[in-house]
Amino acid sequence: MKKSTFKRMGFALLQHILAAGLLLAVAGLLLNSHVVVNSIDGAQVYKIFPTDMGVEFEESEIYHDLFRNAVSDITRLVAIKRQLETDGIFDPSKEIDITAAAREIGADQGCGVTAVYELDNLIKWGKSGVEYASRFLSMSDFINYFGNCIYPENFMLDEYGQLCFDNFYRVDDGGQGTGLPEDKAGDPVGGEEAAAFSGKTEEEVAMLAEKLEACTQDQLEDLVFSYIIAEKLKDVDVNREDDGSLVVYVPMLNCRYDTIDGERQLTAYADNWVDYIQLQENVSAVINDISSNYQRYQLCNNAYEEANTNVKYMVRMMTDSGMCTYTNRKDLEDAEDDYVTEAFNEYRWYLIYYPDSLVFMGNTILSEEEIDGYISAYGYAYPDTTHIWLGVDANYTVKGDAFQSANALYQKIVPNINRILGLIFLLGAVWVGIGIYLTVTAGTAEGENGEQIWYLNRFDRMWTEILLLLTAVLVWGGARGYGALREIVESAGIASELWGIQLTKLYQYGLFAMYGLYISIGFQLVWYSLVRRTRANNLWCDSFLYRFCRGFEHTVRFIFHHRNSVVSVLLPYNAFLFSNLAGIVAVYVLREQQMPMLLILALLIGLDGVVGVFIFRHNAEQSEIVDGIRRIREGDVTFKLEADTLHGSCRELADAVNNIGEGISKAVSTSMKDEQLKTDLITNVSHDIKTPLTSIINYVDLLKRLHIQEEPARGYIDILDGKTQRLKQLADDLVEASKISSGNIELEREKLNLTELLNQGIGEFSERMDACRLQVVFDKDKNAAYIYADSRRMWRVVENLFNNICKYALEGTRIYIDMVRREERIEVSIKNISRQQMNIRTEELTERFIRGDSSRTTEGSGLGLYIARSLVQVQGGSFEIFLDGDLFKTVFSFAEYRSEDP
Amino acid sequence: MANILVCDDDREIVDAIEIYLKQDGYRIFKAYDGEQAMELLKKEEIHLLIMDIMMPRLDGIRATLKIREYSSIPIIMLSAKSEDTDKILGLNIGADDYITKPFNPLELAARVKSNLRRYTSLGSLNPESKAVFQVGGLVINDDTKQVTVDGEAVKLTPIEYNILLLLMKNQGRVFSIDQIYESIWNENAIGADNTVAVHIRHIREKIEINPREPRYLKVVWGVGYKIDRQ
Repeated sequence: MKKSTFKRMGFALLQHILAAGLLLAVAGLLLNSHVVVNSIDGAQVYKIFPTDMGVEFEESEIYHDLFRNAVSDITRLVAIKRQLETDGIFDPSKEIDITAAAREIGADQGCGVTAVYELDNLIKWGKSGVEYASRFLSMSDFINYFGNCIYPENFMLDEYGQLCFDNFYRVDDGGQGTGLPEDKAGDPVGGEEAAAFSGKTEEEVAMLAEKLEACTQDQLEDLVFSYIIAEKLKDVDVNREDDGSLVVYVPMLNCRYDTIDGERQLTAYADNWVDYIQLQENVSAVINDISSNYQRYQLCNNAYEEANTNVKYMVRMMTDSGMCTYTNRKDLEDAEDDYVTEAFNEYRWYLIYYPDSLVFMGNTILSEEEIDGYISAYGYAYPDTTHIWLGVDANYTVKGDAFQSANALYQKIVPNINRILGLIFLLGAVWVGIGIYLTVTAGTAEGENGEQIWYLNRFDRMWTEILLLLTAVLVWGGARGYGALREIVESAGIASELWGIQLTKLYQYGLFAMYGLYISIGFQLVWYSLVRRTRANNLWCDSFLYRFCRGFEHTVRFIFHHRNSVVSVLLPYNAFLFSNLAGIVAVYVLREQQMPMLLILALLIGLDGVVGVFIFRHNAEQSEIVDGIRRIREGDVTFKLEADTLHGSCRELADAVNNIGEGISKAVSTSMKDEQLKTDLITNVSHDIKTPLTSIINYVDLLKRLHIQEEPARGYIDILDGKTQRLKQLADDLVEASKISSGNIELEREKLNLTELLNQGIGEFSERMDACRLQVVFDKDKNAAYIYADSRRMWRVVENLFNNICKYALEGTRIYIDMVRREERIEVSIKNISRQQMNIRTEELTERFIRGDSSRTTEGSGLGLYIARSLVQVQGGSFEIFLDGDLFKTVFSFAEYRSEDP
Repeated sequence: MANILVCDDDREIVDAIEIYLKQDGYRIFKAYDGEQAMELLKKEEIHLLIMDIMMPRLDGIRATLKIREYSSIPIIMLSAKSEDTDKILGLNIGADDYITKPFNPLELAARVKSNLRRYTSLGSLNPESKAVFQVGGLVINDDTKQVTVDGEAVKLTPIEYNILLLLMKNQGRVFSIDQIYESIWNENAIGADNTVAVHIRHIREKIEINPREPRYLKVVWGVGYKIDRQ
């Protein structure tokens, strides 16, 4: 058993190591088969395994991915170049029209004004961040921030004839005019211009002016504000202050740099809030776009320089400012299209695309739609006249670029993938093999006789549900671990963190190995236990569900078995509970109506009170019955419970107890009667024996008187004489013994002096003792030893003992009688040396008809000691006999007489 | 010579008694049930009746009750019933003595003799002297230092005589061994042990017909000795 356990442990350990190794191999495969490429959007990871096996690098998926990546990068790079470069060189002082630029990137919302910045200002602005300053303006200040706009030209009537704000056609600077409608004549030029803009006739304007006059300034301002709010300008908000005035919140751009006009604030370009906010948004959008483009430009421009990449490209397009060519083949920059095409045709992999003439040539897997997709993302940068050439130098003359390094890795990894896979499968197979072996041998051991036995360890004896729970936890942990490993694999090549730890190669491999161990150990824990449980057939028996079912079954059986109790207790109990619950609910429901509620409450209390009384009565009656049972048990067999005063089950119980009591009483009286009968029988038999015995004794005596001298007649007569005497004694003793054993004697107890009694006894027996040369040594207590006993019975005891001594004591020895007081008891011991060897046990000596010699040849009835012991015991004393060799010792003791004894 | 009626349903016992008593010179009449006994009593002049209790037709108890209606002759019950209650019953309804079967023939003879003597000669004796004490057939004359039982002189040693005298003087009183010792020997009772008991036994053997069932000097076990007033 020991040996096989070690063997199993060894195998299990091997299995775990295999699992760890297997995962390490997997890690080696997964963590190394990738290429990291710096693309325009940051580092990109491309994996060789598991997609590329057994094909040339140029045919592989990773190659296509890299090419696609290059196309995407280059199309974006060219767009950025257009934005940032002038004549192929980065131009910091390039002027950027904000609204036009915003329109190109689709950020403009129809802004009516624009501003122009220098490129480097925008880039610097982007680096330091776009910030806003919060302005809180009162309604009036807000409306009039850009000057008065309350002019009839700016208003109109809606389809319901209501006055509403139309547009900012005419705005006065704060310094000009008062902003009141009355003063419109004071600035006729503005008015005319505005009227011309708004397209309103003079009559309309006059009519509107009348309307305006009918309104208060506040109402008009409200109309203007409603218009501004309706434009849904970003982040403009209105709040009501505590004093009831309205405050408008406006975020205003912190302008870090001047425009080329030398203006710092954008307010200079706008004359109303709508234009201002839109311009401000455009500036922010353009800054963001240019900043990110600039970063990409810096990243990619250099990477796609001719000397740094094996990817060759050329993009040529006709623009307003003439033909533009972007390329890293400087030698072909000024060449004709056809020549360029020919040059690119030389590359092993190339792509030539003329969107305008629908020419799409190339041998890559890239489709026209795909490249259209890339280009359309920067449609503004690619006019229809664009021509695109792309190719990859399959000689990888440029070292260190994505293609070259990917190729190198590919050549290194791909031939080895099969080997690693083979190793993984081998390890897996061995692991499974060991697993099968361990599964087959799980839970088996050789018994002492070489037979196979199933065993379970402590873990296997736990509830099956715990095992299942553990399994679930392990599976959950496994899934989490798998997720973590996946993350590691996916982020391979990029510096990554897990739980805040920088993952070095060591950590990554370590995690893989640990995962392998985890899976293997978890599997061992659960699977083999499952196997052992199944073998030992305790999968179900040891489960909580099983226990639960068993318990439930027992409960059901118990209830079924005690269905009477269900009817008598459970149902009323439930009814009681239910009625209480119903009462409480009813009281709650009717809490508004006093009368019914009080009625129900009273009913409820009454019901509970009645139940309480019932329970109390039941309990009280039960204790009464228990009392009765105790009395009967204590010997009062005639005791009767008053069953008529009890109720229900208590009455049944009481009747049963009474019946039992009657039974016991009957049995006791029967047994007493039987004893009495027995005694009577013995007495009668004894009488009947005595009558013929009398004749025998008399005639034997008469024979003796004949003085017959002839032998053997004389000897016969002597024998007859002796035996008849013994028979007489026997008949007397028999009656005595039977009376004692049936308890049929009446004691006349009195205070008597045991010393006196013993002295009297010694006196009575003095002659017989002398005849046997027995010397009595009486060591008595100085004080009179009073006991409370029946004097005649006590004499019988002493007489029997002395008789025994005379019969059985060795001639010429001493009889020691010791009397001591011990713990308020008087103890008398009588010792003598036996004449014959005692071949008998002490217990037997006090049995009826037992004598020192089991052959019963000597005189005596054999009842002497029995009668003595019985008489002592019946008077409350103790009587013991000890035998030590030939020393025969009788000890009897009585409680000392006390004055309270009657 | 006295006429004695022996009545028992067991003929052999009657015959045996006849043999014993004839030796002492009595004239014996025999009856085998109570009615026969009654008839014989009427026909013959009977001086003493020995009667069994358990007999056919008329038992000893009823017969005694009837006899006591007209006769005061000594009746000795002779029965196998040896219980105290039986003895008490027999003596109470008019029997003068009670002997249990199986009996000692000598004892029977002595009791017959004693009872007859009581009945015939000692009917009523009035002691003139204060020095004469009497209990039943036992008489002690302190003047003459003579002790007689049923008229027969008994020889006692001085100590025995003194003990008997002490008990006779104080009839009904129980004397313990120590008390007896102290009053007879005039010594402290320490070490008296069983001397007194041995003397008492000797006295009993001399004055009693059956020392084991004494009529006069009775043992109160565990207390002492006494002579009951008759």
